[in-house]
Amino acid sequence: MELIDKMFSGDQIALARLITILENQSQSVPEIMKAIYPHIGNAYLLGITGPPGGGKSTLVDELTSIIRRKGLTVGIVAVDPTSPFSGGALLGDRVRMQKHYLDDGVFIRSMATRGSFGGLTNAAKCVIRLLDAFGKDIIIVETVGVGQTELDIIKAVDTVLVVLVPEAGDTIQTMKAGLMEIADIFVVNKADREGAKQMAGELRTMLNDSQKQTYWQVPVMETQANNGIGIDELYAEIEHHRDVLLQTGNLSVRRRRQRESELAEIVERRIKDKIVERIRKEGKFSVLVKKIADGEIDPYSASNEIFSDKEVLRDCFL
Amino acid sequence: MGNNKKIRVLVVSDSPGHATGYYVVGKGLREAGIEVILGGFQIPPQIVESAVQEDVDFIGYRIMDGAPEILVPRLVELLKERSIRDIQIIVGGIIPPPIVPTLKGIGIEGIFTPGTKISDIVDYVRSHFDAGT
Repeated sequence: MELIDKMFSGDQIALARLITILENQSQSVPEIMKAIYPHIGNAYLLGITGPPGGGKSTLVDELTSIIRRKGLTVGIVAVDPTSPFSGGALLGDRVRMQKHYLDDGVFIRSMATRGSFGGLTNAAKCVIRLLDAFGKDIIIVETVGVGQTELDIIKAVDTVLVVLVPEAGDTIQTMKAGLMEIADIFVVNKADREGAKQMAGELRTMLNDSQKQTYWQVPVMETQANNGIGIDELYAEIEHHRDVLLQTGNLSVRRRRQRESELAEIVERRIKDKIVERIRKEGKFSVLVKKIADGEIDPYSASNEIFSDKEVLRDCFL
Repeated sequence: MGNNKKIRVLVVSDSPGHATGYYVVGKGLREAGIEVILGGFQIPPQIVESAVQEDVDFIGYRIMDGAPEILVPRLVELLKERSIRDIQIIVGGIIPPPIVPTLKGIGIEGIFTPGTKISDIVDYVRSHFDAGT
């Protein structure tokens, strides 16, 4: 594929086109992934998540400045939700990253969560690999951490930052949102606001009670992203986490686990696509949908009818 | 799988402030199922980089305070320099009538001045979208 050669020669337009192809989950995804896979694994992957309005994009902007000063290049994948009603999206993270618009060592791409079936999770993971193969040293993935899709993407990185603000409610809210378990580093941003110290303290207490790994105690960092305060310390902590992962051999453990779930996901998705496609082809499917709509049958009994058809089953699994 | 190409539009403005129209258009496009990348206030070289990285189909350029007869040709020229032919430019905001022919002369067809209905912009974007690329 000509685009892939161009991308490897450093062509940003080709890189952007390839991202679009991955994002649209078009037929050529396997071909692209095959070509780039030998070139991945060199980038360090950083994930940033947390509730909306926590200052994640501003934090990404500040961290990017530090990384650039160290002479490293950065790829940013900023994910925002798609409207479930219209299918459209407003992707606004870029606005907070204006400092780097003319720096060719920084590539920023906004992605919408789009549809169902874990589509984005897969597409975003492919895009991360692509930026890695392109040669970016550090890849930052930013998501709004409220849904399963976003959490799934975040699980595919090396270091996870969970960004909270005092206004986000007490730490119980954080536990409810499932953010407690995925954080490698907690960031209490807007630390100059009321309640920030208390929140950081509560988080530390909670984390002391439930240390998840023997080799790493999750730290709580306080930052003011828009004033550039606490960012150097945060970056030092990210480097510290990376060093600990490397020294203890846990980076390769983590990455192997990610590859494992990646393969499982691909297989699962292909099976699902195949089954759904086969079932939809059957005239019976639309008949059953109509029956359900008319209240003649419930969806569970309808699915039993589909699965009692031996021919359909054979087609699905052979 | 198949092709799930979505329309992507980068919206940018020539100055901070006067943002109501910018947001109304962004929201309107989103409600029409389009992916809108908010670029904020950018100068033409920045707009080109953003449009390249985001691989958009359209650039929606809101001009209120500036000089459209300078900014828009500059943007067109920069896109040409990068050999980008498939990103279309739409202009909105305060475009003095004598300048409209100048813009049309450099290939800008979508010019939307105050009083425009959102549906007109949506229709324009949909009918000019090239699903092939």
